[in-house]
Parts: sequence; structure tokens; C-alpha cells
Amino acid sequence: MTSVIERQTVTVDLSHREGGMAARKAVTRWAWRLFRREWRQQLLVLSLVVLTVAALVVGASVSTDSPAPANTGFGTAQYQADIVGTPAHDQSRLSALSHDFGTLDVIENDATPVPGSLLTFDFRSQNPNGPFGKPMLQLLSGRYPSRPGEIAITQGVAQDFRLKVGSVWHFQGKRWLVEGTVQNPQSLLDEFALVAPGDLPLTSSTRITALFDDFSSTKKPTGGDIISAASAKANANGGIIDPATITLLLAAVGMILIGLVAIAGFTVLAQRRLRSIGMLQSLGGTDRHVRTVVRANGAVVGVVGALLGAVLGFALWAVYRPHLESSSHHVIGLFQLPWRVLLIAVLIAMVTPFLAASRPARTIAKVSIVKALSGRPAPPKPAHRSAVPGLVLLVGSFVLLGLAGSQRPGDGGAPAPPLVGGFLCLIAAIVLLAPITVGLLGRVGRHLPVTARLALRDLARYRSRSASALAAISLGVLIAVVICVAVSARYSDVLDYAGPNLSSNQLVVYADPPRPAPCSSVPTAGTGHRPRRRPSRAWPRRQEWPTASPAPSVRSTAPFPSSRRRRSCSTGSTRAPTTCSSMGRSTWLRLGCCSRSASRRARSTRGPTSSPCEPASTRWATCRWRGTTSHLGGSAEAEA
Amino acid sequence: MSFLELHDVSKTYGDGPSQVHALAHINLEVEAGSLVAVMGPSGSGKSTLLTIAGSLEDPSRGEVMIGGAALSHLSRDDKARLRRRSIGFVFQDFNLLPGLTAAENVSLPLELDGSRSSKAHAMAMQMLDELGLADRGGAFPDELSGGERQRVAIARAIVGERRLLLADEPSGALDSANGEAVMRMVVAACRNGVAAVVVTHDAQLASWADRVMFIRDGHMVDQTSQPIGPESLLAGSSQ
Repeated sequence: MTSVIERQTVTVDLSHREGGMAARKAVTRWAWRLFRREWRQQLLVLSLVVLTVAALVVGASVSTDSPAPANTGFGTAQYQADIVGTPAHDQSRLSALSHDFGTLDVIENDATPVPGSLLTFDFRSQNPNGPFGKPMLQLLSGRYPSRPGEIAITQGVAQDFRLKVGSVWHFQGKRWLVEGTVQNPQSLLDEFALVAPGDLPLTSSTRITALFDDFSSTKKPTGGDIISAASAKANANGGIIDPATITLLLAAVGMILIGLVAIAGFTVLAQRRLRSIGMLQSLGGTDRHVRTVVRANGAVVGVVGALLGAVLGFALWAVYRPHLESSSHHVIGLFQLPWRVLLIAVLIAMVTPFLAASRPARTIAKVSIVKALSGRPAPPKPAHRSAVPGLVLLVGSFVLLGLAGSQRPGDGGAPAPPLVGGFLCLIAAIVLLAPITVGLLGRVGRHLPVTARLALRDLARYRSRSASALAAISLGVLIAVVICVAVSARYSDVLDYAGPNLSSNQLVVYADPPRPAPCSSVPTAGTGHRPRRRPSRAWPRRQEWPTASPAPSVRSTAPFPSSRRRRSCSTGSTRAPTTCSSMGRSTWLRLGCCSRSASRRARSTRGPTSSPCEPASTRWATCRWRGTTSHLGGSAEAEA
Repeated sequence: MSFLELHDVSKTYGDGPSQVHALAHINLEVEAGSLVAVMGPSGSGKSTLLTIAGSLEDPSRGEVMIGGAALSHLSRDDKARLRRRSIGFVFQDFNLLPGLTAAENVSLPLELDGSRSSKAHAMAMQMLDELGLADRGGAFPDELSGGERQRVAIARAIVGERRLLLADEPSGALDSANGEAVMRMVVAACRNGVAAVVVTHDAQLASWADRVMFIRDGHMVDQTSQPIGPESLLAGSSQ
């Protein structure tokens, strides 16, 4: 009998088949589990992301919602026409507008003084269901007036006349039945009594605002009494950088700082997990799998931090929103948030830790498996980095910043490019020079006592992570210094419109002598009335004003409550009232320090209400002067 | 045919005066289904031999062949691929991945190689069942006893199509009963065609091996003779 033994051929399969999605899923699951187990070790980075996102949510919401809505006074219309004149003139103008542009939403206002006081309010006729004016009217209780003799009032009017829903009000010889309380959501300082459409008799003092669109017309809206929503919005911005842009810039800078801290944090974390990483590699994990684990951890930190931060920020916003409503004097919805900005900020927050984890991921994947299994980190490789690039960038940043500092906005040059370039160079220089600085610290430490020597030596040995922390701290200090310097410089000019906050009982008054400029209209935001403005080029920039000449004081034509605006700047033929109203708005609205009652108190001390417009210097002489504070010819600080 | 072959393998650490010769001119062949024990004092190079044999480390000189593939010709990713498909490691301190359950630890090499999660989990549970740990599949490593952890590590090392088992002091952290149980599992794996190299200090455990080699100061100083098998008979008759 013969036995045949076949020699077995043993081979291994080395085909280039990777784990693909299954492998990525497995290592990502492991990263998630590690995050759940060791999230306390990542609390610093996590907290930074959470707080930054929360601050961005609140900051972006406040900065975006604080200014009056862009459509204030316009509702949903693209244009408004302020018509003042005789009833016949009003009717003919309305007919012409209706003929040219089709549907009109007509709002009639009649300013009326409150008996026994200097306050005024408007009798207003507006269709609550008008095609354009709906956003300017909100029913708080009761119902809108629908028949002659019915009326709905704002809370201020109700307080002044001690009225409530159901009251019968005898005023100026007429009997009114209060059917509801209303408000102008776009201006809570707008006090009025709403009557049924057509229940307000047209007189020569009646101010008519017609809202309309031109999409159905081939004729371009023209006329001195027409203002477009787009131009009003552009003028309201006044060239100031969009809050959304500022928020995104802050988000980017903040995330750069967090990224630097996160690099150090993830490096330490990866060192702590070195043994586990070695186990994964011994099981057949490739470098890519190792990198995926570390990056997935960064991504998890980013996602969790961003979501928690968004929730926290939204909760804070919900708490703060009522306060913002009362200080900005317009209704702000709970979900009236700059969603696009927030979405981008949250995405940046999610991506930043992921990118920060990439560097430690690459580093840890290169560690020998045996050393990783032993749990001992590889000794740091001596880094021979040249200081030249960092120094070049540092010098370049100083040059650019100096160039930006030497330019004045009035020179016509744009300081933004050198300023931004200078800061970018400075940030890059700090990041590049940080490891060299840490190395120098280690050398200096040779002559120190042993404890400090050891600390500095360790700092220098592991400069890959200590340098990023140093860079983050340096940038943080840089930002704080820049903010301090900028704020102190900005706020040193008390006459700057966007400058210092005054106390709630102070006003800065810019008085200029009367000019022949027309001032035919009076702005009333609630009704869509706008101040008659000159073309923007007619007004020199403030920096261009000669100190000896009268300073034009137009700040903005942004909407302002009709009653107060009319109170301070009634009709007239000079420009001075416009000046007053603009300043009033600038102080009250921006500072947000004047409650409704306080503003009414303030109004009562200001001067005649419906008198013709007169030179500001004369009119403001009725205030108690506390002293002249400016070279701008008549500017003064008045105590209200 | 040998599944693992080491030809004149040397390993040196460091340079100059601090140079250490961890291994010198080691030759070793391990056939599929056989168990080789490596014994020697501490610092003799046993673990270095194991890491080089398992492609965790490159030799300074010599050649390592696994399943006919020379490791010197393989890239880093190829070696990783080789480890997850053909080599299983068992360490003294278990080296189970924290955060993953016993079943997930066992199924991880399969998933890394592209197996679907459900399929890999089923294979892992089957392997745990064979080792008497079916009811501990959902437990995390820190919820398992030392013996259970090592059994999970063995399951992970032999799950799938693994052909080479490298164990570094697998019973070092266990009591004698658990140590013997572990060796019994290693032997059972060898019966299924797995080639195994076990580093141990314990002569009693080494007695389970088909062959024992002794290392001192990086040199192989002795080894027991290879048991006579049918192939040697065949070789003799051909001569």
C-alpha cells in the first residue's frame, strides 16, 4: 500500500482590498465610544466650542435684531410716498400714483397734542388688511375698528387717557368707542389711535403715506415725495459693516484660537491613547484607520460642541429677547434670527476641531507600533525650523499695520486691505514664531532653579503642543489689546455718532444754524413717513467738515416714531428739525436706555411740539444746557 | 511548508556605545498547525522575536516570510493588511480596545477588512461561543475577569481566516488554572491548522508545545527536536 502525502501550499491574501465603509464605520464607532468614555479629558476644547457658539448665536441675534427692521415704514412695499398738502392736492397725487403703480396702501395721520402736556399722538386711519401695511400693525387685544366711531389705541395712548377696551372716549368733541389695543411692531414708540379706514377727515395737516410697488409698472417711481425701501435701507446702514459680516469674522477669529488650543488638546489626548492606537494597528489597522479615529474624535467634539452651543445660545437668546425688544423699541420674534449666519458659524465650529485633530492624527499614525503598544510616546524629534519666515511675516505685518494706521478714512483710501493683511501676517508670524520662542525659553531656563528649569525644558521638548497653546494665548492677548485700544480710541470722541454711551438723561445736541434746505416732510416710521433727505452726496462726510463752518447733522433717515419725531421736529422749512430728530433717534435708539415712559418724559422737556421748524440752536435753548462740548458750532450736551 | 520563516534575523537598537543587539542570526520555521514555545530569561529578545515575526517591527538584518510573502517587500499598508487577515496577537495584558464590547473587539479585525457589521458580529459571537463566552459578548473589557479577557483576546486572534497566532506571555497575568485553559485553547487552534508561537517563562506551559526554542542574549541557544512526522518519513524515503 502506498500513501501519497500532498504538500500543502499556504499563502496569504494581500489583495488591495480595503475595509471601505465598514472599516470607517467601525473606527468611527470606536472614536464615539472613546469620546463618551473620556469626554472629561476634552472638556476644555468642548467648553470653548460650546461657549463660542453660544456667544455667536446671542451676539449675532442681538446685533442683527437691534436695528429697526429694514422694512420699517414700508411694510411689504418697495416705495412710499409722503404726501402733504391740501386735501385736493392729496387726492390728485393719490390718483396719479394709483394710475401709475396700481394698488396703493394709504395711511392717513393726524398729529394731535395730548391735552395738558407736550406729548402728541397720531390719529391714524389704516386698513389692517391693507396690501402692504400689515407688518406695521398688530392687534394686542379686542378687535380692529371697523365702523365709524370705533377706535383702537396703543398702550401709551391708553395710559395717557386712562382708557381700556370697551371705554367710551370723548375727545375733541367726538365720541369714540375703544374696541381694541394695537401697536406698531416695528416701532414700539409709535403712539397712535387707529380709526376705521375713511373715518379720519382729510385736512391740510393730515399727512398721507402711500405704499406701493412698481413691479407691474413700466414707469419708474419719481418725485420728491417718494422714497424707495432700498435707498432707505442703504442710508440706514450708513456704510457700517454688516453685523452678519462682523459676526462671521468674529467666528473665524474665535475658531482660529480654539483650533490652536484644540491642536494641543488633541495631541495630548492622542498621546494618552497611544496604547489603544497601537492595539488597533496590531489588529491590522492602517495609518488611515488611525487617522480616522483621531479625526473622528475631533469631528465628534465639533458636532457636540456646536450643537450644545447652539442650544445654549438659543436659550440665552430666548431669555434676553424681551429686554432687547424694550431697548430697541420694536417687536422681535423668537425665531427672528440670522439663520444663514448662524448656520455658517455652527459649521465653522463643527469643522474647526476636525481640522485641529488632523495634525495629531498624522503624527500619531507615524509612531512605531511597538512603541505605541508600550505606551511610551516617541521622543520628540529635534525641529530645525528657520525663524526667517516668521520674522519676515512679523516685519511685514508691522509695515502693513503702520500703513493702515497712517491712512485716514477722509483721505479717500481704504484702510481695510492693509489692516486685514497686517493682522493676517501677524497671526501667521505668531504661529510660526511660537515654537522658536518656546525653544528660547528652554535655553533661558538653564540658569533657573530646578523646578522652573524642568518645566521650561519640558515645554521646549514638547513644543509641538506647547507652541500652539502659546500661540493661542498670544493671539488672545492680541485681540484683547486691539479691542481695548480700538474702543478707547473710538469712545474718546464724545461727539461721534456711534461713540460713547451717554447716561439715560443726557443727549448730545448738534445745533447748526438754519439753512435754506427744504424740510418739507416729517419722518414717521410707523406710518411710513420719512424725513425728506438730500441726496447723500450733498452731505459731506463728517471728517470733511471744516471746523469753522456749521456741521451738518444728518445722521440717518432710519425710521423713527412719528409722534416723537413730530414732537421734536415739526413741519417747517429749514433743515434743523431733521437734525434734531436724527440726533434724538441716534441717542435714544442706539443707547437703548430710554424706556417708553422715560422717552415720553424726555420729550416733554424738549420744547414746543408742533411749532414750525426753527433753528436748532434756538429751539434747544429751551433745554437746560450743561455746557458746550464740541467745536461743531453749537453742539452741546443737554440734560433731558 | 512552513507558514512562518525567519532567516538569519538580527535586530539592533540604538547606535554607537548604546547599541543593543536584541536578536542575532535567528532562524525559525513554524509549520501550519504546529505550536512553538519560545523560552528565555527577561531581556533575551523573546518579545522582539515575536514583534518581528508579526510584522510589528522590521528586522535590522535577515528576512521574515509569512505565508510565502517576504515582509521586506511589503509596504506599511500591506503589512497591516497581512496582520488583519493572517496574524493574531495575544498579549500578556490582553490589549482589548477600551470602549468596545467583547464581541466588538473580536469582530473589529473582520470589519477593518470590510466585512459587514452584522456578519462580523455573528462570526465573533460564534467564536466567543466556542470559547465559552457567549453570554459575555456585550460586556466591556473592564467588566470581564482576567481569564475572560484573555479568552476574548484569543478569540480575536483566531477569528476569521487567521493562520498565525503569536502569543506573548498569554498566561502571565492569569492563575494556573486560567493559564492552562488558555494554553488548551491555543493548542485547539493549532489543531485547526493555525501556526502558533508562544513566548513564555513557564516550562509547564511550554510543555504543551510541539517544539521549544531557547533564547539568551538574542541568540538561539537550544531547541528541542522537531517531532517526526509523515513529511520527514517521505523525505527519508526519497533519499
